[in-house]
Amino acid sequence: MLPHEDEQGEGLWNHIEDIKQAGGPARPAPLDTLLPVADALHDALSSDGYLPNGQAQARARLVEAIRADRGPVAPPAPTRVGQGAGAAGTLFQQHWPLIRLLIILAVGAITVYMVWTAYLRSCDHTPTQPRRSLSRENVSALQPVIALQDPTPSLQPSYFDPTGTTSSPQIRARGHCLKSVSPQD
Amino acid sequence: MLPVEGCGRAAPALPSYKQGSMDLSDDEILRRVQQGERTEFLELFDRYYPRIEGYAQRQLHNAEAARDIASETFLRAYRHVDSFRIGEISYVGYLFLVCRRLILTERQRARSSPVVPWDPAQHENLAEAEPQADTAALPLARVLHAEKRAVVRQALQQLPADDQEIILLAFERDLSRRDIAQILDKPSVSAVTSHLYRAMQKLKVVLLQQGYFDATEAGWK
Repeated sequence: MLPHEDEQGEGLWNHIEDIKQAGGPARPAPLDTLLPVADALHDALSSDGYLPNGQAQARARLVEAIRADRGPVAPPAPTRVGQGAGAAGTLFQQHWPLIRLLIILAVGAITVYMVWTAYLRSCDHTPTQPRRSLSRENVSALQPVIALQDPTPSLQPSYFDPTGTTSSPQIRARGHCLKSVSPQD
Repeated sequence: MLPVEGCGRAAPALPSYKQGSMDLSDDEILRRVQQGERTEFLELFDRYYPRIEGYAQRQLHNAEAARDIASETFLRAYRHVDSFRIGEISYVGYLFLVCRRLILTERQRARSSPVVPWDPAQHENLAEAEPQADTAALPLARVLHAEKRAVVRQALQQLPADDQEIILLAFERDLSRRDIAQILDKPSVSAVTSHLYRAMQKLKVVLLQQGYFDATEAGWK
């Protein structure tokens, strides 16, 4: 653009800005410039018959999008606690699915741990003597019984406990714990 | 045309944004939206939707497509509102930018020429839309005025698409040259000024050919 065109370009832009601010030409423009063209153009564009008619539908779509984004939308708080609190709240809301998953995983892990601890404790409470006396032969002898999961172990106390000193529930507990004993031990 | 999701279904009413939002600047509203007050975005929608749809109509000359594009513009702007960096571009400029990209995509999809040919039938419809164009009820001066406006619009549509774009954006309120440079991917503000100047010169030539101005009187001959 030539230097004089540069100036005219600036003048044209300033004139357009004035028109936009005032809603029309504030003063007569010199006819030997582009300013009358700008005036005519502004006049034509401001009455071109293009009226927005889809605002209600578009707003409904946007409202749906906001709802889907946030879930039930609470009315805005009357006072703001502060930007930090607002940001923390936003962070919590944004990551709520992840936080919920982590909570479920943590509860599951704690439950498994407690069951496992109870299981080990039940094994520890069984009398130590019969456990010490378990030989490979005894273990292999017990395997079919364990596999059968005999519902009435109390009828065979002598088989489970050669000493005959342990009660039936203890035998059951011992038999359960023996599942984890490998024949190679 | 872009797909319209949920059109025709009445969405449940959301709590409207705070009344005080109307006095806030775009940047202040955007900060609130980014901090989680999502319904505040509706204030930006109400501020700028008519202009975005009007811009799309002027570009596409298709009311239905313009409605869809304007709606999609705000949906996309909302989805990306958290990544909008305040201060880089005015928000209205950003909306025009999104809208322009959708218009270009729509044009590519429709495999139409970027230069929209003049449609006399559409021109008649536009003229009918103006109350001044009721020739039976209005004095001659007003009829002539309406015809002159139609001539200007016709002349504008004879320009190349990029010239039409820069002229239409230049006449949009609140858009600075910096905004226009970003919307049209121009390297600088002066590039916008020079392009606008050349586009207006072309328009002047077309208007002279159509006898809009008295060229001899204006010293343009």
